[in-house]
Order: sequence, then structure tokens, then C-alpha cells
Amino acid sequence: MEVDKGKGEAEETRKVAEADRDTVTLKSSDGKLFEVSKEAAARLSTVLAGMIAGGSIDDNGTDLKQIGSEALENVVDYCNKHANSIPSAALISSSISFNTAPFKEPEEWERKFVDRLSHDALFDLVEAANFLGMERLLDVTCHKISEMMKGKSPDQIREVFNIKNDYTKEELEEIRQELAWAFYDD
Amino acid sequence: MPPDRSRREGETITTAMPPDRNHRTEETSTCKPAAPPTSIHDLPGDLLELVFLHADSFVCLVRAAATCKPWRRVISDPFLRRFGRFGHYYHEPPSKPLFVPSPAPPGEATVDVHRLAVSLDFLAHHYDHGDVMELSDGGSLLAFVKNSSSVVVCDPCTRKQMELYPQSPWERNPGRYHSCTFGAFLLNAGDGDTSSCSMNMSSFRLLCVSLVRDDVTRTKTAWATLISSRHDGCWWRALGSRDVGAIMPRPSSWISARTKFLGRAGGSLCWSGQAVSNAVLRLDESSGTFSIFKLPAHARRNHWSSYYNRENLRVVDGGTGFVRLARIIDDDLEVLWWSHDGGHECIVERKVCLSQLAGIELIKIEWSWRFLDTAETLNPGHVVLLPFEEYMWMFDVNVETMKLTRLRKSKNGQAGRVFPYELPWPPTIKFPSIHGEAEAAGAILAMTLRRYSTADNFLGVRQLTRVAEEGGCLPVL
Repeated sequence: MEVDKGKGEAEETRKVAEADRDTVTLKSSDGKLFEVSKEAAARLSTVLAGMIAGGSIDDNGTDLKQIGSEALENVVDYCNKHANSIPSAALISSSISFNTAPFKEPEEWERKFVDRLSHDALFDLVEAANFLGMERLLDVTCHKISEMMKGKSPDQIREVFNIKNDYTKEELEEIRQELAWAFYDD
Repeated sequence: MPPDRSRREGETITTAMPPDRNHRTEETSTCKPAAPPTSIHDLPGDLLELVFLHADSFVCLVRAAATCKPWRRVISDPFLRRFGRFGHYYHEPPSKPLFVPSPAPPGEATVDVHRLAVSLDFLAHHYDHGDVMELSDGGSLLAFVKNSSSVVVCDPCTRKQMELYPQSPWERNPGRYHSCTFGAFLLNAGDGDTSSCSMNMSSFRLLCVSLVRDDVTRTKTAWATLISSRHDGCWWRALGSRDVGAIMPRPSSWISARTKFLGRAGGSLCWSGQAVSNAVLRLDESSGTFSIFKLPAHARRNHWSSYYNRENLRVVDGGTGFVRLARIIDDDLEVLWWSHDGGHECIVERKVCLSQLAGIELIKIEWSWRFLDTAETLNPGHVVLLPFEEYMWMFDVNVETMKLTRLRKSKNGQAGRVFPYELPWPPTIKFPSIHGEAEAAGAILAMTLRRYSTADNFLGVRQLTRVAEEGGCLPVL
């Protein structure tokens, strides 16, 4: 990777080089550089696709100052894994499932991918995916967070996400009474 | 390796960002290289919404809203309003019920995440292949027959369910009688004090239909029983019965009874008799009485098609004391009319030649037309027909006007059953004490929501069932 060329001469060569290269270089807020396949970046991220099409990709590392290095590493990792994965036939046919929503359940590798993340990393990744306009990654990460609430009582949810309960006792009691059906199993 | 940061600070690409509607940046927190680790509180409201859209049930949403006030503010009326409320379940045994959301009305932005409200995965361990399913009007409750012996009633919205065992007079002599329940139909609350309140798990009426074989007299009887669930428990009542030995003569009736269901309209439930008997068994929902009538004779070419089922004979309309059926005989579509006054006979009201009406040429008339079930079938008085399997168009026929419309063939178009579904969830969930919102509005909504409560009743049902199993007397309404 070419780093720190004189700015004037760089302009022309960079445009030429960019067209030839099949990767793009992304730079995190803390200055780390990551390379990702241009094809995958353009396919998975509407923002990167727009930048590639608009020629605003910086060969020396496109600055993504909203995204920390850990999150960006995960983004790049996701892109690479996505490029290598083949959609499984089971997921395409939905007739066997009760779920028929347009959202496709995370595939096995996507599940593994988000499962290994810490909470912080997961939330960072949600923001990064949002920032980069990566719909699928956003869906997969949000799905993962919602799964962490599944079947839990408010107390358990608070514990999982380290949430401070700012309701008064009376308010909570009222909610429990008015919406008793939602708390019946507790 | 990291190049000089400061030098590039000014030319960051944020300015080169293409406009993107889906891109939610406005609320994203600012640059934070050295910021403390992200917690879920750092997620802006629109991303939290996205998380909540992935919740598996409304129960989960309510619990999330009860964790803290910021979350409660996200799970607010505007958020809930985004859920599409309409769609239909398509059910074709042995496949599991399938939810098909209605397209959003023009100009209305509806979230395409319907799975939250309508997923029936919580029934997975209950559901058996070939079960008969029935959805109440509007879809607040769902009932299905399990293993021909029990009935499961559930609320897709709250994911509560209960299993009921229809008890009837014959059960008191179990060695002699064998029974098979082949239908369970939720009735609209119409009687008593709760008439203004719609159906819910602690207040519903369920009409069960069973076929009972008497091993001593060798008779076969269809029985209708009514289960009323109320706040104080669950009650059974035997309604009408009818000897059906003549129209359901074979042992296979046990299984085929449920596959011979012709439909439900205007208070009538109809089943086809077996084989060439040409008979229809009708149950009047309001009185619980059975009647049997004969279909008009025909001279059809294809003998096989005299085995009636939902593909060639179905109920299309009905009202007090009458029922209207559509029948396919070879290339003809007949509209049949039966009224209570007509006794055992039913008449051909209208008749058209389908290939002429549709302007198509059939290869083999005997194996052609059949009825399908699609969203269009939900319109009263309409049938949807397919000329033959490979044909890419379906036809919608209004049996009143005999007007034919061409429809594109859809993958769900089979002869199953289609139930309209409207989310019973009031999209105005409010916790009255918060923000000091109007007490009156809160109280009304609280009432609406309270009707989902099942706690006390659930026990009542179980206890009652146990008493009945032990041979105790059943309370009778």
C-alpha cells in the first residue's frame, strides 16, 4: 500500500490506481488501516458503494472517523466472511417455518460472528453498520440484541444490559397490573 | 504504519457522504476515539427501535418498555403504529400455518416486520401435521384440533395458549364409544354480559364437532358441543347430534371428516359426505343443530370428481337459514342454494361454462378446474379457480354476478384455508402514570389490554378438565 505521497502528483496516479485495485483501504477513528474487497464493500454498504462510485475513496485510507478500530475490524471481518459464504438453501425456502417475514434469519456463520462479540463491541458494530449503511449487518446485530431480551423479565433485561431502573415502585406496579398478560409467567 | 492523522483531519470523507434515506446519522453520537465503551444507552432512538422491531413477541416489547423510561419512550405510539396490522394466515395441512402480510396501503409507511405479532412458533410443540385450524373473526384467537382429541386455543398476540379436552355425554362410557374431534370453531361473543367485549383467552365460545362411533349399536353420530370460557371457569354444553352413518359410512371417515370440510359462512358449517352419497352435513352455529341435504344430481364425465372436497365444492356464502355453495362439474361452475325451508334438496341457482367465460381452451376437461385459496377468497361470495396446474393465471369469480377477473398465480394458491388476521394489539399502548397523560384515555386502553389476562381462568380450565376426566359431573350452562 502506498502511503504519504506528495499530494499534487498523487491525485492523478491515485485515480488510475484506484480503478485497478480490487480492495479499498479504510481508516478507523484511531488511525488504523484496514483493507476490504471493493466488491464486498460496494455490495454490503450503501455508503461505501456511493463513495466508490463517486470516486471519493482515499487510497491511503478512507477516513471513517466515526468508527473505532475494533468496530471497523469487525465490519471488515464481516465483509470478508460474507464474500466467502454461500447462502444456504434452507434459508431461502421459508415454507417450513412459521416465520414468513421478509427478514431472513441470521445464517449460521452470521450467528457465530455476532455471538463471539462482547456487548460493547456489538453496540459499536450496530452504530458502525448504521453509519456505513450496511442493512444486513445492522439487521443481524439488532436481531442479536433483541435475542438477548427474549423470554426475560424486566429485571433480567436490566441485568443483561446494565440498565438503571428509573421507575418508581408505584409506577412499576401499575404497569404490571395494567399489562398483566405480559408478566403472567414471571 | 498509521499515517499522520492530523494532516488528513480536514479532508475527512464525511463531506463526501452520498445522501441516503436509510442512513441514520443525525442522532449518532459524536466521534469518540477515547470515549468509554458503548453501552446500549448510547444507541440512538432509531437504532433502539430497530432492535425492538426484532423482538419475538409483544410480550417482549412490553417487558422492554417496563425496564426504564427511555425505552418506554422509544416503544411509544408512533413506533407501534408502524406495525402493519393486517394480513392473513394461509393453512394447508400438513404444512404449518403461514402468515401472509397485506401490502401496506398506499402512502402509509408500514414496517415490513410482521413476524413479531404473528409468528406461531410458540405452538411448534403442539402443532401436529394435518391439524385443523380456525381463526376467530379478526384473528384475536386461534383454535386448532390436536390429534383428533383435544383443542388448543391460543392468542397469537400474547402467545398464551391452553389445551381443552372436549367432554360430552358419550365420554361417560368410554369402552363403548370412540370419538374423533374434527372441527373447532370460535364463535363471536354474542350472548350474555360480555357481548361488547371481543374475544380473548378468558372469554370465548368454542363450537366443537366430533364424530362418535358406538361399538354396540354400530351407529355413527356427529355431535356438537359448546365450550364457554369465562372469568369464572370453563363450561361445557352438549348441543345437537345427528346420525351420520348413511353419509359417512366407512371407517376412514375418522380421518376424512376433517378433510371434507367445505367451509364456513353466515353461521353455517358444512362437510361433504363420503363418495357418491352427494350429501352435505350442515351445522347451524347459532343453534348447534345439524341438517343433511342432497346436492343436485349431475351428469359429469369424470367419476372421480364426485368425491367432493374443498377443491371442487365449497361454501361461498350464507345467512340465517340458508347456505350457498359453489361446485365444479367438469367445465361448469354451479352456484347451489340450500335453505332450511327446502328440506333435503338444494337447487342450482346459476351455472356457467368456465372455459367459455375465461376464454381459454382446456386440454382435458375432466381434470381441469379446481378451487384455490388466496387472499381473494376472503371476499364473501368469491371463488378463485385454476384451470390446470401449469396455467399461470388464476381466475376470481364473483358468484353473485358471475363476473370473472384474471389474477396472477401465486405460490400460496392451493386448496387450503385462508383466515384474515388483524392484529388485536391496540397500537396505543400507554402506561397511564407516565408523563401524566390523560387518565381517561389510559383507562380505556387499560381495559382493552386487561382482557388479555388469563391467569385465573387458566387454572379453572385445568381443574375442570381434571374433574371431568375422573368421571365427575360436568357443570352445564
